[in-house]
Amino acid sequence: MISRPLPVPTALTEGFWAAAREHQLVLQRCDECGRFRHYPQERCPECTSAAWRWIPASGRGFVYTYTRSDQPFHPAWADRTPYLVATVELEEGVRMVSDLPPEDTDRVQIGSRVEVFFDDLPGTGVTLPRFRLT
Amino acid sequence: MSGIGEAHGYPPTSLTQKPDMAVVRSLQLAGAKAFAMADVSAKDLDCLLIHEGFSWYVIAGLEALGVVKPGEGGPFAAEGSIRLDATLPVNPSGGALSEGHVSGMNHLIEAVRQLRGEVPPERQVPGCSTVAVATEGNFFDASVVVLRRDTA
Repeated sequence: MISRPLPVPTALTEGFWAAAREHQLVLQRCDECGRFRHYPQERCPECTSAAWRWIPASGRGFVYTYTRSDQPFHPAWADRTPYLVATVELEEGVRMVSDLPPEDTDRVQIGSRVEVFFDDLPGTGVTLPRFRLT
Repeated sequence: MSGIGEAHGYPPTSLTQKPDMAVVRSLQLAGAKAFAMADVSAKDLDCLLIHEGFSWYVIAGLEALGVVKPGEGGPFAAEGSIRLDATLPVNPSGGALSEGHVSGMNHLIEAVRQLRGEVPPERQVPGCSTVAVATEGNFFDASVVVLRRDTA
């Protein structure tokens, strides 16, 4: 059996994954112009400043868009279909991509309110921030 | 070649962070530049070649280039208005699904052949004299060129 691929933290992203292990969702915020950004980037796409820090996020938002997959595009998802992949817009104004849990499959709508939860993957040392309907 | 335009979307980083994922701002800007240089509008086109790395990009392109209003691209295509004998023939060669993904180069070739009358008759746009070719890459950098047959 092929196991699911896991995130590989880099110097840029390790703060995000370390915070997730503490069950906290963080976002990059530009020190110069104050804008949040995601996914992690070295420089601000708004003002190009390289000064930034991790800021705790609310973990709340709504479903901007989603897709339902009836095919496992990776062997590790073979017994999980159908599954949802959603783009979630956070209160801070940036969007994150997440799956939604099986119980949300038949009730998700564009605009549905969501909240983050933390999935500690056993035996991996990895915690995934995921989203579910509130 | 009577008009060219190139433009890049904002932010330059990620599809998911676009203000509206279904609006191709770069193509709006690139199209506007190319059409202004060529002094044409979408209504003047005899044929439109849209490089479609993804199928929905034909619909997005129709809207971004002003052929139809936002939200009308899907119905416009579904009702047959982009067929060879309809309002605006789009990708008469079949586009990327038929020719492969060559980042729009084959669309450019098709445009020139259409203007020269060198394609097989079953896909020749009658009286083809003004064509636009729209290409995109990387969600979403875009370029548009307007090609015309010199009838003078």
